[in-house]
Amino acid sequence: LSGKFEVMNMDMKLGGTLKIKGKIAGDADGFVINLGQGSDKLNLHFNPRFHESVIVCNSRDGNWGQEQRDKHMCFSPGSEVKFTVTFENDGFKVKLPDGHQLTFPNRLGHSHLSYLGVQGGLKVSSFKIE
Amino acid sequence: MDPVGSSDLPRTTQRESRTWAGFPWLLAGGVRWSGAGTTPGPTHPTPPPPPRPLTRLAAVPSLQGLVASNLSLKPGQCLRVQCEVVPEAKSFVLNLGKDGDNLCLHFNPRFEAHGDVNTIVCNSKDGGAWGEELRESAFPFQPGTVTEVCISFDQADLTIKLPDGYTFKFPNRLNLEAISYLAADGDMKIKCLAFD
Repeated sequence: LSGKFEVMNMDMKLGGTLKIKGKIAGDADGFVINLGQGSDKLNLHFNPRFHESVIVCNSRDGNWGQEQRDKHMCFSPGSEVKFTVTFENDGFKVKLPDGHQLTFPNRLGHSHLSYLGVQGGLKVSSFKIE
Repeated sequence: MDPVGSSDLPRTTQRESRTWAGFPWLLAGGVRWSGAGTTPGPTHPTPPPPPRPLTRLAAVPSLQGLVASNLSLKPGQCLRVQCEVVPEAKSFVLNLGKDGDNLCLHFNPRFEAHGDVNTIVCNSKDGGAWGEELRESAFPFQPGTVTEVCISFDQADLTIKLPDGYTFKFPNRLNLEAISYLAADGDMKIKCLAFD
């Protein structure tokens, strides 16, 4: 398990797009991309789990919200991946490496995201805020 | 239980008043707390607040830029930072190192700041103490534009590549084997970070 890559004081507004590129470790069980206000206030918790072949999304406001599970798994350990997250009025749209799109509501309702955290088997090679 | 407790109070107050007298600058700069300017002493029922929050208030800029941690940038890798310099920018900063107090590179292009005009000032910070500033006269930056710098390092030096391709070195005074911390500050906004 690699360390936890964190970005604070990020300036991502409603309408913004975040692009993350990275490499999934060959022995990864899964990884996490968190977006929100801080490590305990997450508007989007995006968690692909390889052993279950599922992408779990959730929100966290002190406590976890209700999980949303999506069986679309289009990447695997050892591969280079790119995710595009758009932050819109009606929620998040996450574009997966094959073009498939997941949506997740902005349950916490913020219009600004300042925190990005990446954990587990994804090594970030670049991120871009547009 | 601490038997010294309340009987020690006057002594504590006196000691604090000496502490404050020894750090007059803590009281300067417009920071006020009730009782400032009067003579602290045993007649005051409550001792003055501890100095720590005041120094923090004075030291932290109101607008802190992006901070990235746990980067694990290794020698030979290149960190590419793309940022948008705001119009009418005076200065911006990229700090790289282990944490805020241990920086192998403080990279500070100054358009017009601290008496410098169109100059890059570089420094290091070791355990919270600044090193010796070095100045670089190349200055391919303009307010209101998107710009990019690439930074790589080895045990001896950091190599900084400016947007026009000009390259210069800054000594790796801390001998860091990895760069794990990046912080941006000043009149710019980071658009893209890449670890090549």
